[in-house]
Amino acid sequence: MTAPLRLRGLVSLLFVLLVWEGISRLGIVPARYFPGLTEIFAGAVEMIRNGELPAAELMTLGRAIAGLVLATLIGIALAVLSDASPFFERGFRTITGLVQPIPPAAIVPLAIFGFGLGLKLYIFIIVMVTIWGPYLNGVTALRAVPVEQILNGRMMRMTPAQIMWHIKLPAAMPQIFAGIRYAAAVSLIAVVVSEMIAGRDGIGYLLVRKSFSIRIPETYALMFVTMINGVLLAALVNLGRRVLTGWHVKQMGYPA
Amino acid sequence: MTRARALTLAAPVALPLMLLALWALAAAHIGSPLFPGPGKVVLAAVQNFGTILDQMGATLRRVVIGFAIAAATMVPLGILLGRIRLLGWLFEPVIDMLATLPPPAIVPLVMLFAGTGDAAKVTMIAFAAAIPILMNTFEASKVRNAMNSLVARALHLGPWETMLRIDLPAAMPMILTGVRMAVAAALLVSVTSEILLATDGIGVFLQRQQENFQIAGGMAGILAIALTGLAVNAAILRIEKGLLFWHYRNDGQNG
Amino acid sequence: MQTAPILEARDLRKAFGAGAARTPILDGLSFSVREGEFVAVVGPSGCGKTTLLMALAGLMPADAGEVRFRGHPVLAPPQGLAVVFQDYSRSLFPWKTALANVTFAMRGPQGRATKAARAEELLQAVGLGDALHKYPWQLSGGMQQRVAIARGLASESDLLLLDEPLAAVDAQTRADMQDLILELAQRFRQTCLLVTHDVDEAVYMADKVVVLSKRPTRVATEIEVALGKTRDQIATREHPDYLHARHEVMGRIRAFRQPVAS
Repeated sequence: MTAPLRLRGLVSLLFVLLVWEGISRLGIVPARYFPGLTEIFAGAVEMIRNGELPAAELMTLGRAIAGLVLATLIGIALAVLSDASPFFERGFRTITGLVQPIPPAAIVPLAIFGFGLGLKLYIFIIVMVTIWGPYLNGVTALRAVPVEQILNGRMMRMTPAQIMWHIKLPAAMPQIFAGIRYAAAVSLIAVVVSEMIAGRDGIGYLLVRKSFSIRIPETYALMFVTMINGVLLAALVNLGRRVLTGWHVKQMGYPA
Repeated sequence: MTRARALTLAAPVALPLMLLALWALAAAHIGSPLFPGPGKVVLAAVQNFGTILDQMGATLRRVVIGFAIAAATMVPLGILLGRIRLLGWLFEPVIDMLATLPPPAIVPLVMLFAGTGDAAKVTMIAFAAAIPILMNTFEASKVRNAMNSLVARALHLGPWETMLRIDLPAAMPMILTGVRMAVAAALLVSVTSEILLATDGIGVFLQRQQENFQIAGGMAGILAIALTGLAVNAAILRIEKGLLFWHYRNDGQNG
Repeated sequence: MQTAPILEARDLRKAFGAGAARTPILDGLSFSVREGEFVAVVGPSGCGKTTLLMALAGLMPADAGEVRFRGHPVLAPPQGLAVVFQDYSRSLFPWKTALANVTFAMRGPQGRATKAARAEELLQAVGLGDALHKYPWQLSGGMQQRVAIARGLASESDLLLLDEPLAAVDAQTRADMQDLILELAQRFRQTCLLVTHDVDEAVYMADKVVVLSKRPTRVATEIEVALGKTRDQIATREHPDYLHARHEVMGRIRAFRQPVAS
């Protein structure tokens, strides 16, 4: 980020914080519902001190990352399968159309029956909701690999499997990562919603508990935490993207 | 009909049908009431048809109202922020931050202010739908096509007319993408709020089915949601194609 | 001594489409390439030069006739045959450096160090000794194609097929690269088959020019170019033998032109 942009972020943040403090102090909205920043901060600190927040963060982030990694692997595997078999791709497209619109919240009540209340539940829901990003992007990317590169592989007498591994997948990686970035945001939503509905721990559960106990500053603090988690996860995916597809990042001129 | 052609026609349904058959076999083999086969699900759907329709209707009613509020307020606001550079500059980081907020996280907060009734739920839905609409409208409004402003000036269009007749259509593609994201968020928040805060809606239906161990009924509910989502997406796509036929032709894409 | 040809095409036929839409492209094409030769294949546009190259390389099966490489029928890309494609921007792997692209073509059992050393040698031979660790997008068009050529040489093939390698390169660079290819072919004793649409290029570079007819394509004629192995962009192109060969080839090709309505 260049200096002016950083500055702008700071100014904007300050502006928002000022407005927030203003609204709370001036009592435009009842102070009850609009706690000052100090209160929110104090609430957050307390949750850190008694260990609630760190434990919840660990659970939530851990589940999101684990689910995202698994969903990515499955999504890519299915994309490879679709590339090899147009018949499968066409059939799976129907399934995609039917399953993709289902909001994760709707899956939770029934999923509990099949997967209990532990890690398996979250992984299942995350996978159900996030494989579409890597899968759909993978299918289009694999299809778009320049034929010359594939011909090169054939000239080197590679098997179709070798061509997929050495040529097609590396070529498709940048676009697949775009799908992973999108999936990361969705996985976080899936985890938080699942924790809110069925959880016994995690940020989502904490959020519900604090709000049902009318602990308003803590509720605001936790919402802020979920936002930070989104940024964190996106940064993690970006790191992975640079490691695995650094060549493309520089080629496209993105700031490294 | 050649074998190849038959295969092509059958492909869209062949795989799902195979999976359906597999599911039926597995259910028959396991034989537990907690693992109903497709037949039982269809039966449950038929038995609960009326209820599902009612509850889905309640959910959709709220989604539509919340979405309408969001669109009505956020499209003008997004255009405003996009046009007045200082405001847009100031608020962009905030909007980016809001983009990382998982929509369901809104539910507990709004509940604290507005309770659990219909109005509260509509508020939650409106908030969830507002963010993508605002983001995309804002983004789309930032783009200022020099040619378009020249044309507007040449036609002696006032600022409001320019916005309505030229800027809005130009921004449509991006706005409609925001609309699609907003609908998904709205549906998600609606179901979440219903599961957490009861009263009525398809979420409540799902929750009740689960409480009574009615797996087949629950699956019928999910099927209803999936079909609704499919229908809504198709409708939006149709509207998009209608509004944006010029855009697609311009880009030379296949819609 | 007349050795058996390294590559032999016999009565090749290939058509696309079926039924009423069936379009014959290659219609009984026969020619051969001997070891050490530099053969150019040239023909009117649309005569299926690329189809021919695909069939020769084993990338596309012919409908009838056969291709023999070192005496064996070609059913799939054979060992000892390499191809340099026309569109370097799409044929180099963008996620690999120039060096990595070249070493990738070496599928033998030698160690990594050996391969890297040889790749470096080849890249230096094409004048890219400083660009070993650059990525394709960091190189100009001509440089990218030189990497592709180095990669073609890296596989130490018995026959290198070049599919209009200089068509996408700017005119100035083209002349330099023609000489570069000739020099490399001699230095590494590489038998080459060059497919091109450029008659001057074909005559300038080749020992033998195979002239194709228009579709349905067969060999119109083969013209030996006895200009020796040392060519010069100015001197050779003024040489009477060059002009004679060029005249003959050009005449043949222009005879296939569609009559222009006057």
